[in-house]
Amino acid sequence: MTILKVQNVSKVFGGLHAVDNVSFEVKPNEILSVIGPNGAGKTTLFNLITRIYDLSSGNIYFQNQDISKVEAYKLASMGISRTFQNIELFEGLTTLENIMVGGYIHGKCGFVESMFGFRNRSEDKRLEKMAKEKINLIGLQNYEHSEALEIPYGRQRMVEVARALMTSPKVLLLDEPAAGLNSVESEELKKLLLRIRGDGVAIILIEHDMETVMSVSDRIVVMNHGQKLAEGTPSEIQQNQEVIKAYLGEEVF
Amino acid sequence: MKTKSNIKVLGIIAVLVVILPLVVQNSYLLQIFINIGSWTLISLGLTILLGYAGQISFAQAAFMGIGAYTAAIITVTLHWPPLLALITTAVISSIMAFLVGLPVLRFKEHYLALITIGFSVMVFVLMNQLSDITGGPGGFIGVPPFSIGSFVFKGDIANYYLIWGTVLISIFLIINLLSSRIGRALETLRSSEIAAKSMGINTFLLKMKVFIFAGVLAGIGGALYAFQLSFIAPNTFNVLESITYLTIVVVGGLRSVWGALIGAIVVTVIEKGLTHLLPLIIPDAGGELESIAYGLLLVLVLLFIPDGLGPTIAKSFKNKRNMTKSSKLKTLDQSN
Ligand SMILES: Nc1ncnc2c1ncn2[C@@H]1O[C@H](COP(=O)(O)OP(=O)(O)OP(=O)(O)O)[C@@H](O)[C@H]1O
Ligand SMILES: [Mg+2]
Repeated sequence: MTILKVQNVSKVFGGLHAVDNVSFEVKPNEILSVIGPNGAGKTTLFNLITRIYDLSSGNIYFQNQDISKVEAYKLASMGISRTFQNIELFEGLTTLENIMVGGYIHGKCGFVESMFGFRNRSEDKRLEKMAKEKINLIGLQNYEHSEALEIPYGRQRMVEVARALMTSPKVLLLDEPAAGLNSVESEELKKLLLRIRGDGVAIILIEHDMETVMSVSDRIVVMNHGQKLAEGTPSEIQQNQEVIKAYLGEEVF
Repeated sequence: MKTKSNIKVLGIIAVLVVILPLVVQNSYLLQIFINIGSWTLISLGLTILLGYAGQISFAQAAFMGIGAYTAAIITVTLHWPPLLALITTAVISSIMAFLVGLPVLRFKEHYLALITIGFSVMVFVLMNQLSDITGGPGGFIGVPPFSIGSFVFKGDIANYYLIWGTVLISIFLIINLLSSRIGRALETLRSSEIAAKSMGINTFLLKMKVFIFAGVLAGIGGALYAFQLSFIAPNTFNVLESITYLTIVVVGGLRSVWGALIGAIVVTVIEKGLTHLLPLIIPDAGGELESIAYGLLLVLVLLFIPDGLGPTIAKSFKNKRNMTKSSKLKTLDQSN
């Protein structure tokens, strides 16, 4: 069974092959990590899957449906959600409000209907309740009413995770969620990831923190210079000579 | 919370609006109040468009003109009742806004600013050139007053209530809009459009709806202007007039429902002040000096109160309230 299939996907910027003919599949209920040195093309791969960028070539299938040309905003309601490496929280909104935006697709009041305000309150209550569940799940209670962009960096990353979860995704793409977390927070993140997977959500994880990667991943895809270098279980990857060479000089494992 | 206090403020303003003509029975002042109402209506959509969607439109005056001429032609040439003309105005303004926004609103860049300048020039030229329909540069005479059934809004007081009623209703609608899920979605456009899209927000459509809404309000404002004055001419709808509306929202404050209203009052006061004061200081001062004064005002506001007056006033109120709260706490501490 496959929920997401990336097939011969490439992205060229000018002359640079940021992603070069990459293929892999993601199963529901698994955590697939994408690792690789800086500039390997991991974030670009995410931007291709989530349709921020157009593909130069290749195809992406979600639940057997070709999404290579689907508009970015349609993916959330299909079941694909993500966080961003360069935090993309909404300025001027509190943590709670930022997370509530994640529930946008669950609301029904349109532009004109909202103006008359008959259903705004009941709808907001429902979204607020959902958002508070995520806040409790992730442990953001202390920051609920603070402006999201003013809370500690590591917590902002968790707000991004909460916001992404609000869309009720089937596939969740996390771009370096552990960056800026202390060791306690990293431990919490690992538990959270396993718990999300336990709820039946597939996770694609980009992460430089190898401790986290090796302990939570079901499978790992290694990228280097835009290409897929290796794919396998954590123990297979740790013994792979090519991978070790790519990381030469860095003590990662 | 914020919604409730906004509704409260709206209630207070509504009461003021109702009693004002009863207290002030001076037709010059009444005319000024009507003018403030018109300007508010025409600028209202701009606060959302510029403040939330981050898009500049120079077409508010053009939409006002489209509204005014549509109302004039439909009532005088086609003999339709004014109410039907007003509805048609709204429809035509929204179609125009849709067509103007369609090619450019996909982009975050300021293409809208450029296309709205071009559009305004085109509308202005057409108003002047299609003289068989529009009356040309000389204007269009004999627009009937607005009426609903047999009730005719004749005279300044009736028109005052008509325009301010429309303003208050529009502000009410915007307060609701901003406090909804759509309002939150609007807040996202400024900071991260890619995150907004990833959360399922169709940012293009949302910007389009805001632009159409702004256009419709300006169109209705123009129609009401035509019904009130019964005479319209192209110059009122020149692209340069759009700068006045931009000044109004920047001075009054973007991202505040009250921005347009505050800005319209301030700019009116300054304008009236200038027309009376300038000739005293510089005897042969012309209209250009007024434009210079507007430009100066815009620069000063951007330099010293970049948030505009509305949010700045709100903030200082909040601070004051917090201060009284904390000083109360202090006295409590001392009494303990
Ligand atoms: N929009 C863009 N335009 C041009 N080049 C780009 C763009 N986005 C990424 N690149 C280039 O593509 C390559 C891959 O970048 P990408 O951000 O995908 O790497 P990454 O694996 O996520 O790295 P990191 O671990 O540092 O986040 C880099 O050389 C980068 O400079
Ligand atoms: Mg990256």
